[in-house]
Amino acid sequence: MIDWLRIEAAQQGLALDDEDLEAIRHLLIEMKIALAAKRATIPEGTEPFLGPAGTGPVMGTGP
Amino acid sequence: MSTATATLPFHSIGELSVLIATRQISPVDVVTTLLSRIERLNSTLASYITVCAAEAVAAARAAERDIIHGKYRGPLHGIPIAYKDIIWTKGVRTTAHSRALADFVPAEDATHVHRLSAAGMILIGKTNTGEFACGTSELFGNPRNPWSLNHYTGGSSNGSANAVAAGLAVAATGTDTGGSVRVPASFCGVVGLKPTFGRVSRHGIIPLSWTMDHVGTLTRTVDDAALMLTAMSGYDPLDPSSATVPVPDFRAGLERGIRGLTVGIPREHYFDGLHPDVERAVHAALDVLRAEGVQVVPVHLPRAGDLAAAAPLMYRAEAYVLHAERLRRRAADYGRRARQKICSGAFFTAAEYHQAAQLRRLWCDELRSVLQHVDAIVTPTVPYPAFTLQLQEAGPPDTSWGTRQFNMSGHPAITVPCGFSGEHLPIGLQIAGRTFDELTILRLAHVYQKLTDWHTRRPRLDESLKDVTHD
Repeated sequence: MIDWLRIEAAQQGLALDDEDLEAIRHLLIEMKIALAAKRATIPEGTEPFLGPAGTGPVMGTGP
Repeated sequence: MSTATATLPFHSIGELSVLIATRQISPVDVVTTLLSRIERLNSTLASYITVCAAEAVAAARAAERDIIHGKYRGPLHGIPIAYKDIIWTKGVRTTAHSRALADFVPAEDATHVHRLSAAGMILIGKTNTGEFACGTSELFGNPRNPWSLNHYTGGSSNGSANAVAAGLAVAATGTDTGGSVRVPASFCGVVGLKPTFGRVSRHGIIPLSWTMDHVGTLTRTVDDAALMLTAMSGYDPLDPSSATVPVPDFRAGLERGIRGLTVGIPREHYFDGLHPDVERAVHAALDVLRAEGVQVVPVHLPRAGDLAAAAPLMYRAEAYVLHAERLRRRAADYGRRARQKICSGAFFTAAEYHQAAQLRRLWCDELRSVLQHVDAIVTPTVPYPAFTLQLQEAGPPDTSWGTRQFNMSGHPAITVPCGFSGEHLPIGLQIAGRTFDELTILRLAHVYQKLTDWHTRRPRLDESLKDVTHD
């Protein structure tokens, strides 16, 4: 994974050192595992809610 | 120093406005008293990154002249205010506590700053923040909790919270993407309000997340929060998410009482594994509400605990897009924690972002359904009191545990002091309500505050200063 991070960071033009990449690897693993644990609870066909901005169903909207 | 001057820094906006309107004190007295306290304590508390002393005194003199000549603008006129240093202030450096913006001077005010200035508020300084609202506070000093100087303030509106708690500001604004107003307000024992998404313009905020950033207030009283919210709110064409809903006079509605309201207590997540002092304080607060005729009922919110990964994943992906260009040029000017958190957003897949958004949808649907049956939801703000600065530096626990839910949904939420731990650290009670119904949560918090005295207690800073560990 660290090699993929290094390649991807370079492609994105990010100058990240090994300490950064290792910390990011740790963050990603932790969060990806946590997300995966919840994935099975999402009913099929659930439409993503991309946030209350503008046209969200919860909020009022601008003109 | 006279008794009146000694207590002045701890007056609320409501108290000061009466004294100013009746010309018992001048805005100049208020500003100069605060400035001398800032001069004495800021090196320890690190509340402010920039203090606007000369400008504040000049503005106070102008306010004094206007008031003498009958041009009183209302209860915010002549009241000093501090802004978190990620909020644009025209002509005043706005650093986001980052080397990357150390010399950034905005050419205009954020919309809410403009509105509060129009109401007569006086900029006294720019308060400390975690770098870009997600990193550490190393460059300009790490704010200390005035209740215990070796404890963390919470973040990221850390300077706004500790300044209000310590009498270095009368009121402040901050931003809240996962709890950054409410968590430090809870840890420092002040009132923190995050309004509904769209209620207060985000124009002029250095953004972290398009879909979760909110502008909020940090004050001593709920009454003050209501005053400020009324002045700050309203449609702004410069913010694409700004809502066109009407803005009520929130303060005028506070005295309607709370008898007959129903609040929900989540069965899931929010009462699991609480620090015993927090559990005791929150249950005692519920008893106060019951005694006022509020019905307290259990509610089911099983998705409340499902957002621990989804919320940070979404905000980091958004933050990365917002910061990508600057990161390519100046990554070395970011502190490590901010750089690593923001850059992590570059490595999630589009599918993961949308799966997080599915969890967001499920939570919003659940919350909206519950709020059809109760007027508000009451929870602890954070499951424990403030922890030490050492723990914060080593790797802090999840402080957004109880707050991020309402950033994901956009619903309004307020924290109000509801007690102290055995270590004399403040505890916060969170009240969340229906979208654009800030008034109901303000009413509940206001009545609770009138029936309790937690908000009137003051940190014993002079005693604490003897024990402080400078590291």
